[in-house]
Amino acid sequence: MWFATIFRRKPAVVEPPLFDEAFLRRLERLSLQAQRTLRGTPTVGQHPSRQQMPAIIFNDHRPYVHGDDPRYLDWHAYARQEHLLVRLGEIEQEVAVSMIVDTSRSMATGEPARLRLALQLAGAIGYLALAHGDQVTVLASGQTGPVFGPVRGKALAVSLFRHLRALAPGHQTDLAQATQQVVQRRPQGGLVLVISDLLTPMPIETIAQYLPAPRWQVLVLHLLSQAELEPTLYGSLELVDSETGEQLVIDLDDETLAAYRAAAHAWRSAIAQRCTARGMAYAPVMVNWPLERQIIPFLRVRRFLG
Amino acid sequence: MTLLAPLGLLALLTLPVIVILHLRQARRRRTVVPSLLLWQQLVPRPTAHRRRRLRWSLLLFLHLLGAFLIGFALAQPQLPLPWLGSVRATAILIDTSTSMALREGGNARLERARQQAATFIRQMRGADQVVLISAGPQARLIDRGSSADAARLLAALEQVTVEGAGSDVNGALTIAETFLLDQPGARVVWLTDGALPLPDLTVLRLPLQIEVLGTDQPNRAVVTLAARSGNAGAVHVYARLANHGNQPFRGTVRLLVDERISRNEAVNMRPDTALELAWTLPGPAQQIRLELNGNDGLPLDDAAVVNVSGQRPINVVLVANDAPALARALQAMPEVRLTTVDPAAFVPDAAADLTIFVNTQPRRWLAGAMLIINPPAGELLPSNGPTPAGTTLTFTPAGEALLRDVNLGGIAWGRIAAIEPPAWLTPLALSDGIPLILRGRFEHSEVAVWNFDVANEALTTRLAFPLLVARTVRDLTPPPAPVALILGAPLVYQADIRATQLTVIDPNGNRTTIAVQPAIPATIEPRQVGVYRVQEWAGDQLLRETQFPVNAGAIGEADPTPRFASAAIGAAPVQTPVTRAAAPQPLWSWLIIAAIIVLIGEWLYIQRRPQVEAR
Repeated sequence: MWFATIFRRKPAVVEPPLFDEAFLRRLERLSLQAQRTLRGTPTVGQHPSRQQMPAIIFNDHRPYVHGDDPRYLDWHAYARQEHLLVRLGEIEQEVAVSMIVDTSRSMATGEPARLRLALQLAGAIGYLALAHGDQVTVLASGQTGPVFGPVRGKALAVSLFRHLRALAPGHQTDLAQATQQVVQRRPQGGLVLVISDLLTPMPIETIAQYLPAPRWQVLVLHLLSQAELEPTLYGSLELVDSETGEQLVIDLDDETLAAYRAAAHAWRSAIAQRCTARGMAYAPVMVNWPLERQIIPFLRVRRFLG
Repeated sequence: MTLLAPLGLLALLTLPVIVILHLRQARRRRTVVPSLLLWQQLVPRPTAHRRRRLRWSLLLFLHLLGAFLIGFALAQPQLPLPWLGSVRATAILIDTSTSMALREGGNARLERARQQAATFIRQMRGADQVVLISAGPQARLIDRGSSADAARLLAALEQVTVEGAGSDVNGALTIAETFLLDQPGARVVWLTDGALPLPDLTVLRLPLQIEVLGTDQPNRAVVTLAARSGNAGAVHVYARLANHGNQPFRGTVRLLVDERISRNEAVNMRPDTALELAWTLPGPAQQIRLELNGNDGLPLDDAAVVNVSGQRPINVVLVANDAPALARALQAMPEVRLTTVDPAAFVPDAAADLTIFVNTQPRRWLAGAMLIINPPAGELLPSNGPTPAGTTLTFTPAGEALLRDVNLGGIAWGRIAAIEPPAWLTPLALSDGIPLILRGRFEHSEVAVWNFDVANEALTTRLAFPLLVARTVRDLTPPPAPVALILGAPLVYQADIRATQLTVIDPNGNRTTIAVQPAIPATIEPRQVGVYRVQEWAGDQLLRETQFPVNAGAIGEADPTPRFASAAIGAAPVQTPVTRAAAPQPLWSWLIIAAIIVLIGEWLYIQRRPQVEAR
């Protein structure tokens, strides 16, 4: 009967998974491009470092001191110079990867919402870090403790994804608190990934204040939506801020919209310039870009990924 | 353009309402944005003057268009649209003369005409109108209607039959002009076999398209048949046969007297000639039938029937003690069957067609015909006593028909009663101002009064007396039936004054009842060939039964050869499509459909536009 289903409870909307398994396998071929200046734990990890240690494959020598492992003595140099020299080679290190995900309400507005893309990016990069032996910590803006981590090991990727999917919007953008937590938990530095719409006053300055280069390598993924850059609003409107509830009465006409588009372009350019000036890597990402076909290649071009 | 309901335009007041609603809706719309960070950087602009400006959008346009269409439809506009629903008004004249019954190629000409008319009716569209007219002996309207009445028109078309000799084309054209003259683009289509002289079509006011259906076909017919009684009861029969065609005809004729074969003769006829035959048969005979072995496509006119005499017997009851001169005059009339009754023994007889009272008068007006002669003073005809009458005789205008050429001058009438007649009795003749002959009709009585004595030898010895008797008797009784009728000719039948209804029995035995009023003739229109019978009824009493034959053969119908070809006369040529006149068409249905489409467009637009779009 046609009315047989009118009282049937509609099934809950099931959030699709962030990735599929095939995408993760393809993602493992990439790696995070960490700077050599970062201080990580040597002998574990796969990132190059500036530290040198006795090694078979060498690029330098130093005089032998008591206690050095005789296997690393360069006997050929001793035959020529009659001095005992130890072969020194570069070592690889692991990097502490901290990801600050903006979970403010502004990330949940618009179609599609930026938050899902932020979680996908955090998941992809976190999985990449875990797969390469890095220490991963996930922090959400506005929350006092880390959402996930710090942990190592690819086996924890599932836990990472579960924690990411549990994130829900509901706070204002507070990058300062998140960056402070990063510094407090790992003062020696590391790689910090900021995924945010940056819709807060002076976000770059706040980040740079706590995470100065070169100790910290900061990657800023700026999530932009087309409705934000090229709004289709028109007429007399009462605009409401999604985070603060603040209202603004405005009459939008062609002239006003042109002014807005100019301001948005200037705002975006200013953020990019400030990031460059403070040694941060900046990558604007449109929220409607497909992750694998457009965002990942774009991050490789920007040398976020290798 | 005309508006049938101009008040419906009041619905257009919804247009400014829609505009106001759009202005209100466009004034403030609450929209959630991710952040006001960028919006707050814009320099605030004065907004008061812009709030009143209407921003045109597709949605507003669709709203206004939908409201306009619905409001305009409520006014019920009409507009002449040549490309949409134009009206074609056509009168179809169907020739129903006898020659249309001729069969060619398996189908009668009339059947082909009906098929063409049916095809035309089925092709009608929209408000097309058609008028079906029978162009038979008397033009008549068959039916008319639009495409919605196609089923009824087709049914009426099936009832069209051959109606008789002659084709009243001018009358049919008059009927067509009556219905179509005020309609632009109207036309007339005449479906005929062309077997008649081309009528005068110079004063046509509508385009006429003539469709000739017939071809040159041979036909043999009995065009005339007459019979009369002769001396010693002999019957003289005269017949005229016609052979229309290019071939000589050799066949037989069969003569039947009262349905018994009397003659069977061979006839030879040259092409396009007529053959006259005459026979003298021993009597008596009532009816003669002549049958010709024509072997042609029109067997309808190969036989004819005629009555030898159309006179009906008149039962006369003479209520008199002694009136020999009157009795002799009555007996001299062949149709009269006289019965003499003593006044003292008189009892009204229902079988009497005429009752004659001599020197007496009845107590009441009897049903039927009465002749009262020399009435004494009584209740019905009171008088002031006998008065000497003069020799001067004056005929009133009412008596001209009855008394014309009846020489009653110079008769000494003697003493006559100065009767005071009722108002319905009209004097026909006066003698010095005293009514001498009166005639009148009262209810179911035909009454004549002779206010003089028939024992007066000065009258009865004159030739005028039997003439006066015969005329009076025939004036009081119904006229004789015709000996034969041509198919299509109506019969004006004067029934007995006592009759209340007629029963007409056609050759197939079908009965038709016609109510009649006293002294008002009934019209009988025979539609078939054969012998019709007519029964006159006074309540449950059968007064009389007469019969008359109906023949199809006629001089004008015997030749089925078309005398003119198909042609177009007037504005519309034959092969050119008829211009469809642009008659005012109601547009409300189209406007409502357009409004529904606009509303669907609105719905689709609302469903598909971005939620945040404010345009």
